Amino acid sequence: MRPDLVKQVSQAMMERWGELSEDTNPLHVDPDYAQGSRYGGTIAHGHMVVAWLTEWLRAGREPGMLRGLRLRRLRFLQPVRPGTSYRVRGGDGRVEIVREDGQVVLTALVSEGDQEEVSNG
Amino acid sequence: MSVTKALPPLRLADLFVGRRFGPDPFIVTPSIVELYMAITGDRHPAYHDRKEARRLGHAAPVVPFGLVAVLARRAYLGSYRMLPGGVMAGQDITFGTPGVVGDTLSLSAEITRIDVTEIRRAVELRCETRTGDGQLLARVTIDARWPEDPE
Repeated sequence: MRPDLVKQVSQAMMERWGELSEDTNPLHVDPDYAQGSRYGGTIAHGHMVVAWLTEWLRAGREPGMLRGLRLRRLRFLQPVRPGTSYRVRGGDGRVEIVREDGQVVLTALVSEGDQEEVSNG
Repeated sequence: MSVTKALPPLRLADLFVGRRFGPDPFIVTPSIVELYMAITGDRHPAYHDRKEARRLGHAAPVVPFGLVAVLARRAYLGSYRMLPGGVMAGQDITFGTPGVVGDTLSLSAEITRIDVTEIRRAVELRCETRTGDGQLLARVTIDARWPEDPE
């Protein structure tokens, strides 16, 4: 059973992730632009949120032990926003990310992948 | 990773099923890993401690799997920029062999589905990152919502 992982999101974190990923979509890094968008404010990069899932999957284990694992049907249900904390939790083949008010923002299925698929590439 | 250069946009009109990107080389450097660890707080010693990485059976510090989605995106946007407004709707990820920091990885992508309606522009891309010796590091299928092309 993996422990929950708690993440506090900030605009500064999102801007640094934009630098790391070279993803400077203004929805993520420009509050003025994002305020005028349908999101009403900046939202976190999807690939940053995915990084949380890998950290949760790896919990207590060394990175190589992710080999063969698979995240399936990963869906972003709600945007992840700065100034809010989120909890990554799961078990029994599922993982979800939950906002501090209880709203589920992401779900995915976790399975042991096809080792042959990984071996054969 | 360097600051984004002035690259041509990857417009919806430029996409078609079967279009391929790469394979292109990419090296995850220690500075990239350091920035990743600073942002996420995920500081497993295998990412930065050569002795610990070797103890765990790796040739050198390993690339954090938390970068797989970033590498997948780079596979199709390495030579292009995304127009503002696109978002990721979903993913499917298979984790493979850990990559080694400093190794030349190979990034590639292929468009596998395009579904455009009045209210959404859905593009599916199958992206692969491979290690220097050709092993699969990760396969990421991205369900993206593409931004509207400028008029």
